[in-house]
Amino acid sequence: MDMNGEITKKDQDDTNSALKRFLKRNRTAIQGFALLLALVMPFLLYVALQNGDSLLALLAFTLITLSMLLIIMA
Amino acid sequence: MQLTLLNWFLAFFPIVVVLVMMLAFHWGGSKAGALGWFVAILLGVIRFGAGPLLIGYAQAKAILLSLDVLYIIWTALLLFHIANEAGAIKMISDSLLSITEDRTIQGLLLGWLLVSFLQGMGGFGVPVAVAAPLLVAVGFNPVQAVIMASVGHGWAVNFGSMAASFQTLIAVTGLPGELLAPDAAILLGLTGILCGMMVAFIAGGWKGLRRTLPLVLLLAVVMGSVQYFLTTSGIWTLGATGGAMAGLLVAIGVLRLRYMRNNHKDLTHPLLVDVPPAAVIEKRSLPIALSGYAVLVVLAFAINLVPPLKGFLGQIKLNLAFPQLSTSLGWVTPMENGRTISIFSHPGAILFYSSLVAYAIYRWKGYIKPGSVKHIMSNVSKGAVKSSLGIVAMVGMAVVMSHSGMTNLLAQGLSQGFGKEFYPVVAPFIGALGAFITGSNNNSNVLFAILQQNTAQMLGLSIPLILGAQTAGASLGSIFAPAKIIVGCSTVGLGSKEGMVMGRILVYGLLTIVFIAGMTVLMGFLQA
Repeated sequence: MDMNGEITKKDQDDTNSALKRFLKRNRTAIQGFALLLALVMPFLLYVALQNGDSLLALLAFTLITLSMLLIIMA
Repeated sequence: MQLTLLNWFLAFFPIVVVLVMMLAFHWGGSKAGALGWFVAILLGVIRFGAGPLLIGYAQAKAILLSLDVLYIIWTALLLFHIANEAGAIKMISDSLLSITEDRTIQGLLLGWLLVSFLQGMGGFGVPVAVAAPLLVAVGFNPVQAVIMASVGHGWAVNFGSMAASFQTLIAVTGLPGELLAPDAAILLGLTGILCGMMVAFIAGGWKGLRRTLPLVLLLAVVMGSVQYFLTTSGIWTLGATGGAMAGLLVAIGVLRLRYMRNNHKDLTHPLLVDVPPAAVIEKRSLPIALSGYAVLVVLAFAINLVPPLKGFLGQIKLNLAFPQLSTSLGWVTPMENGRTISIFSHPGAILFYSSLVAYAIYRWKGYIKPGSVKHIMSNVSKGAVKSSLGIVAMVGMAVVMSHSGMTNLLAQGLSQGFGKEFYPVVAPFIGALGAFITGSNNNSNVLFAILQQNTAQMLGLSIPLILGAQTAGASLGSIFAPAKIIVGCSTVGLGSKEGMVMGRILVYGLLTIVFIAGMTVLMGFLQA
């Protein structure tokens, strides 16, 4: 952060590289977690849709989306 | 949804994204597939009128289709790593090396004959997953290995996997198998010659191809004829298996005769000629080494051909019922049951039983050390996780595309753009497109067979010929499907080079589709 408390480019670069390091270090675990979400959540989504539970369906779909994001990032 | 150039291009866009990311940016299949999934959903909602219900149910359908494939991938890798841990893979490769020292012929034995036989028994990426590491073990580089194994089994996909794809063609068109089998068998049998020639070329260049051409032609004629005979006799479930088995037997006979003629000595045990001293010292037996795969063959035949056994094991099924789904633009997907997975008689289950029996045999004979289970499981998960992610993402994308009418629009554009004269040329490309998107000959037939049937009827073309071109195109199209390439690459440590491998397989794959298109036109003329 600079003297005015704003986020500088350097801060952003540091955050990005920290994120990259984290993803690299934990790649296997992240991929495993993404696979687990991608395999289980569609069944939860199906149950939610069958029961007309919109909130649960939204949660399940959000987690499927998260699993796809993790696949791209990991 | 109205067919316009813009709509057609937008329907094609998710595939373009996957292709560009894999080919130009060298992304792996899982990452490219996940991005394609996002693009397909966005376009499906924004442009093609897919609602939340449709998108949600599409995910559930996609996971059933994915599990159907993943069940086989995980268990095939399990069997492979158990055999590998026992030293069986090394022994098989050494034995094949001992049959012939000709590198091109070694490539043909593993990358054309063995891989076709495995396609007959397993399919779903198993042949490439098993044969590619074997090809690397005998000295081919990993890229060559994946390409040879992929190209080599393309002709056997439709009548392979116990003819699952052909059964689907029968089911969705409502036409008898006896009517559909001849044209499909001729097209695939002829393409088998090209597959063999391509494998010989990749293994030994032009020189290798010229030298082995008579052998390739002989084996292709044997395999194609046996497949034609079996499929037109109603035994299409064993079409590819029987053809490839006949090819392997003839090849071993010919090579053995040639060896005897050249060396003037009797080869009572030709398979043990060049087995390394270490293996001889350990006194490991080739039949024991092969037992894992022998058990697989026996169980596959028994479970598929003994109805009481099949009925008993097929009692517990995973299946979900889906309501009719429609887009706001009027594209309707009828109410249906999703993919049914028979937990205990599925090919994945057969591979799992084989893995257990193989492990017990190897452990009993001392080929596998007591603490090796952890090592085996670690290797299996290393190879399977990334390819599983790729398959889940790609199939998810494909199902969203088909349910929002994008896939149908793609096929309509292709068929309407060409008249009666050119449609036979286009038909195999539509089949190949379906297989490319979904990663499966079977799914391509689900998506496009009815469209092809209706178009052939409207244009006054031979329906069995056009459907033969559809399924033959899909059979060969499946070899360059990202989902399959991911599996092949994962088994030989090419996890980050899928894009490059795909680019090279595309060239060979498209050549085979062009060949099928030419043969379809020729057969159309002959049948007229």
